[in-house]
Amino acid sequence: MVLLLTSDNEMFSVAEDVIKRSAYIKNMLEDVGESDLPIPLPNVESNVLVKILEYCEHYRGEPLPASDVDPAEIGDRSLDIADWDQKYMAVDQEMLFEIILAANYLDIKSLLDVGCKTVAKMMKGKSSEEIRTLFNIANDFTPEEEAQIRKENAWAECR
Amino acid sequence: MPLDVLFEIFSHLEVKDLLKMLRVNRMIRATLLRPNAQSVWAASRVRRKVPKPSTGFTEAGWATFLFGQKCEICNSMRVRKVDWFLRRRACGRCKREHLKDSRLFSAKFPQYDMAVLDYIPYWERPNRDYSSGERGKDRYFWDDDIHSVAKKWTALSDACLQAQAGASEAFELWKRGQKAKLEAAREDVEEYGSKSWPPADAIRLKRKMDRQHGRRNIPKIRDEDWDKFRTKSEPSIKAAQAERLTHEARVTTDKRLDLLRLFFRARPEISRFVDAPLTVAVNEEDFQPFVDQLGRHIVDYQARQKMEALATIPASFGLKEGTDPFELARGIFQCDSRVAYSHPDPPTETSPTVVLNQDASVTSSEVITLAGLDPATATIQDMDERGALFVCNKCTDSTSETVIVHTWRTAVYHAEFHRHERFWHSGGWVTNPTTFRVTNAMETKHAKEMSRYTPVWSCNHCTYHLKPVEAVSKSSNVHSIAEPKEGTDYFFNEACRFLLHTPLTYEDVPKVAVENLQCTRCTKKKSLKRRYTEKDMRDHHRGYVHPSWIDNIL
Repeated sequence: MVLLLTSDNEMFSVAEDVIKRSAYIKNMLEDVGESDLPIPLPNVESNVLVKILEYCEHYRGEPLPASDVDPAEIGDRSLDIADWDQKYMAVDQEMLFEIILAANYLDIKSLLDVGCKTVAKMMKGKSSEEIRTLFNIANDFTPEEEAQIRKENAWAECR
Repeated sequence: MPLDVLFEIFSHLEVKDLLKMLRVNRMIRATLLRPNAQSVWAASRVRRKVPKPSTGFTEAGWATFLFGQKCEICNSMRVRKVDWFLRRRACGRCKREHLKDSRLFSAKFPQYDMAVLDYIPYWERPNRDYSSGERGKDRYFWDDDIHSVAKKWTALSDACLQAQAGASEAFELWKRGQKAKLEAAREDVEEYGSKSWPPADAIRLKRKMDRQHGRRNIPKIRDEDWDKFRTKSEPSIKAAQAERLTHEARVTTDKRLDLLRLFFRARPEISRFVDAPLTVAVNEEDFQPFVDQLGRHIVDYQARQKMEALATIPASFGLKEGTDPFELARGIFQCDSRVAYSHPDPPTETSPTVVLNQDASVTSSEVITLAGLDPATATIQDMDERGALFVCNKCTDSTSETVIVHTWRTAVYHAEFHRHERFWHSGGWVTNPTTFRVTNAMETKHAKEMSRYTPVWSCNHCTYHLKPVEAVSKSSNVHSIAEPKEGTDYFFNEACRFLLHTPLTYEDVPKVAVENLQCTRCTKKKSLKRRYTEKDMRDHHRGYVHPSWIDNIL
C-alpha cells in the first residue's frame, strides 16, 4: 500500500498497482523504495485525488500507454473518447481543469489525454465569443487591436 | 495552466478552431503565436494533410492564409480565393480600393523612388489597351505594401547617402531578401495558383455538385476538377443525358402519335374496325388496305384542303386569271381555329381548316404598296427579295425613343395580333392614320446590325431561342446531335426577329414632346387651358382615346 498526503492534509492509502498508473508516483517508488512515509501531493486536493483514484481503479491491471508519442501519429489524433471516460469527465468545469492539472502533475498520460480531448471538444466549432462565454474569459482586445488582427497576414508578419 | 497542458489541448483542435482561438483574448493569442507553439499548428496542419508552410510563412501565418474566410481588410465574409502573389485574402471591393496601377505610381506616390517597385509584390493582368499596338501586362501594387517597403527603402538609401558604415551592405542584403520573398511568392503562384487546393478540393467539389443539384449559382468546373471526377462520374452523366433525351423525345413523339390517332380515327376505313362490336376480332391485316393507300390519301387530303381554301376567297379580292393566290404576297391564309379546336368531334374530311384572312390581306396590300410593288401581282418571293423594313405607326408616337422594326411578314402578323386590342387602336391614331411606314436609313442600318445579336434562331428540339453563333453548338452539345442541320435541328425564326423588343435609341436626334392637344371633353375653364402631349392625352383618358375627344391646337 502507498500513502498519499493531499494539499488539504488528508491521507489516502492506495494499492500500489492502482497508483502506478501515475508515472510520477511510480518513479518515486522506484527511486525511494518502500517506505511508511506518506508521499506529499501539494498540488492535489483530496476531492480531486478521489476522482483520480476512481480513474486509476477503473483501469487497474490494464497496460500502461507508451510514454513517447510517435510524431507520425500526431496527425491521426482523433477526438473520440470512450463511453466510460465521457461519463467520468461529466463534471463541472472547475473540477475538469483540476483533474487535468492533477493528471499533468501526477503524469497520468491517458487521463491527461482524455481531459484535453474533453476541453478541445468543448471548444470545437465554437466562435471566439462563444469560447469566451464558455470559459468565462474577458475580451481584453481594444477595438484597434481587433481591427489590426483582422488585417494581419503572413506577408505582413514576415515583412 | 501550464503551457504544455494548453498546447496539449490546442493540438487536438482543427485549424479553423485555432484561428478562432487567436481572437479570444491577448493571453491565448500570445500563447498560440509563441515560437514554441509551432507544434500545435503543425499537428493541425498534418491532420488536414496540408503541405509545409511556404517560404516566408510561419505555421500560424500559413494557417491564417489558407483557412481564413474573411476579407483581411473589411472583414466581409466568404472570400474564398487568395492572391498567392500578394499573399492576401481580399474581396473585390478592397482590391479595387487598395491596388494601385504602376503607371500612376509617380503621380500618386511622388515621395517614393520608382525603383522600389521591383521589390514589392504585385498583381498583374494582360494589357487590354491594344490601340498602341503594345501588348503587355499591367502591374498593380497594394498600397500598404508600397508604403512599408518604400519607407524601408528610403531609410536604407538615406543611410547609404550619409555614408554610414555598413549601410550599403545592409541595403544590398535587404534587397536580396526582398527578391527572395518575391521569388518564393512566384513559386507559390506556380504551385498552388491554378489548383483547387486548399482547402481540401474534395469538399469544394462536393459543394459544387450540391449547388448544381440545388440549381443555385452553378459554378464553372475547371479542367483540373473535371479530370479528377471524370472517371467516376462520366458514365452516370452519360446515362442521365440519354434518359433526358429519351424523355424529351417522348413528349414530341407522343404528341405526333396523338395527332395521327385523331386523324385516322375519323377515317371510315379505320373507324369501322375500331368501332366494331367488341366480340369481333380485329388484327393488323384489317388495317393493311388503308395503310397501302396512305400516300394517295394524303395527297388527296392536301388537294382538298387547297380547294376549300380557294373557295373562301371572295370576289372582292380581285384575283386575276392565271395567278396562284398561294404565291401572292397578299394571299394570307389562316387555320380556322373555330373548326380545328372548338369542334367537339375530330376533324372530318369536310372540315374547312384553312381560310383566307381578309384583314391580314388588306394589311399585306398596304405593306406591299409601301415597298413599291403592286399588290395584285407581287409574290412572296418578290417581297422577300425586296427586303423592305417597316415601322408600326400605332406603336410609335412622335416622342418615342424606341423603334420596333418589322419585315413584311412580321408586319402582317403584328397588325393581325394587335388588331383587336383597344389600346392599340387609340395609340398614335391622332397623327398617324396609316398602320406602317418604311424605315429611314438609320433605322434600317440599326435593325440589320442588331439582328446579328438577336436570338432569332430556334432549336427544333426544345423551346430555346438562339443567337446565330449558338445555333450549331447548342444542337450538338445539349442534344448530342453529331451534325446538326439547318431546318431539321434548328431554324431561322423569322417571327422572332422583330417581335422581340429591340429598342433603338437615337441620342443624336433628341425628341421633344409637343403639348399641342386639347381635350374636348373637359368643360371647366381651367381645363380648357391645359395642353397635352400624345402620351399625356392617353394617360388623361386612361388608355383609350376617341378622335372626337381631341382638338389639335397647332
